[in-house]
Amino acid sequence: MNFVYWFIRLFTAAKGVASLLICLLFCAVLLSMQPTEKRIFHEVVITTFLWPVQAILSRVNRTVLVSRENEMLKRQNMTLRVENDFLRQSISLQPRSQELNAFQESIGFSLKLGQISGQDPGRYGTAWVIDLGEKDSVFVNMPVLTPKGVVGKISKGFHSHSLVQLITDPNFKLSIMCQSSRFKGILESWKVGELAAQFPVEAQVVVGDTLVTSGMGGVFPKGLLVGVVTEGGLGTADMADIVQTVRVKPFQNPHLVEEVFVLKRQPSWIVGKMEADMQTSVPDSSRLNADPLGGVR
Amino acid sequence: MNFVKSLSFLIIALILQQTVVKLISIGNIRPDLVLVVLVAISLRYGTVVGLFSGLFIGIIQDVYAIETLGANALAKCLVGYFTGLFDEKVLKIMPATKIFFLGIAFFLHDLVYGFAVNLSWPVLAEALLRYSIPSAIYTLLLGALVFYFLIAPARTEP
Repeated sequence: MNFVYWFIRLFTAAKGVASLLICLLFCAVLLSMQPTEKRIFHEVVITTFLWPVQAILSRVNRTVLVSRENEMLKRQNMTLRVENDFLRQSISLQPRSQELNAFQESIGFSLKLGQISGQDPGRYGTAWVIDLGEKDSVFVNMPVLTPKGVVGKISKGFHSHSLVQLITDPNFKLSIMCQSSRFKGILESWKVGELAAQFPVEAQVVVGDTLVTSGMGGVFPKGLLVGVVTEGGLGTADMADIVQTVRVKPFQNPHLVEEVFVLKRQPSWIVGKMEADMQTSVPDSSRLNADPLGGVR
Repeated sequence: MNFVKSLSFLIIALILQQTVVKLISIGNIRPDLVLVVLVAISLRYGTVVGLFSGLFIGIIQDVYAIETLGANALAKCLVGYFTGLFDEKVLKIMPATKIFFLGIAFFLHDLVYGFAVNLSWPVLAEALLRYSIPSAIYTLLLGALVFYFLIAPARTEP
């Protein structure tokens, strides 16, 4: 008992100077060890009384590492997924691209290929935004088409993008012609997303006839494919002795279009004159609706 | 009993130093949480507890850096001992003074460590300027929080 008391006294007396000396001696021994001895000391300490601490640290570190690795894998996965989607998109674009190139070669006009980058968010979806603008020499009233047929025209041009007014827009009217009988008429929106064409009552237009642009109106050149007549005898009874109305199915379904061509063709001088007249004169709804040339609004 | 309690605090601080403190480090600059706890323990329990606590935790740190085995133990036991001379049971120390002691302890630790691992004067001076001073500032900020929330309330106890 006395021995323990004196032992504690030795370590704590005079503010523990003896303890300090012992500790300094111990540290000096540690510092003067040879590398092999240091390694042995390390092994002994690690595998004996430091084992619990080591286990806790390892577990915590492993958890942190797994968490970081998980984050990294998530990012990698997302990157690969985006890359995969991009590649799939490129593969799916290839047949369309070949078709578009063939069309461009066959049509003979100067065409500019554009991507649809936005759509009118309204219910009718009557306008698109394409990635061609004035920097690509794309201007207002240039026809917009696909290899299957006409889809609309440029209604507003900006520096690097343009608005396309679709033929399904209720404000859009297009001068057309029956390819077989050569009778001319006006194509316009019938109901939401549907098209109808009005012909003179004596016109010989039957179901299955192909309709093309007539070239009148100054915007669309003659002969571009528009649609096919699917039903006749539409329209109101009071107009039945003047015009006949037929339902038209466009060759190009607007919902399936991803790329379009802009026909780089300046509209006829008459279009510019009409627009200037419309801007200077007092707006008159009946006159606007009459639209003798069609296709210009 | 005080020694066991001190060791528990130091081991917790060491675990936090190896895990949480890594996350709040700014480049190579990180606070030395172990040193903060060691200084706090020494001021609270005196020289002997500070000395042995410093030796013990220093050896644990050294075990993971075999080349410098003994350097951390030497630096920390000296810091523990000399900080323990200003035992709170004997002297009443203001919190700001404790922060000052922590700063001194930090430099004493790095100096002793530098000498123990045989760093040349230019290298030691550069290490003190580029690493020790920013780390000391960071450690002092952390120490201020520890002293304010852990030590100051204890001082107001009856």
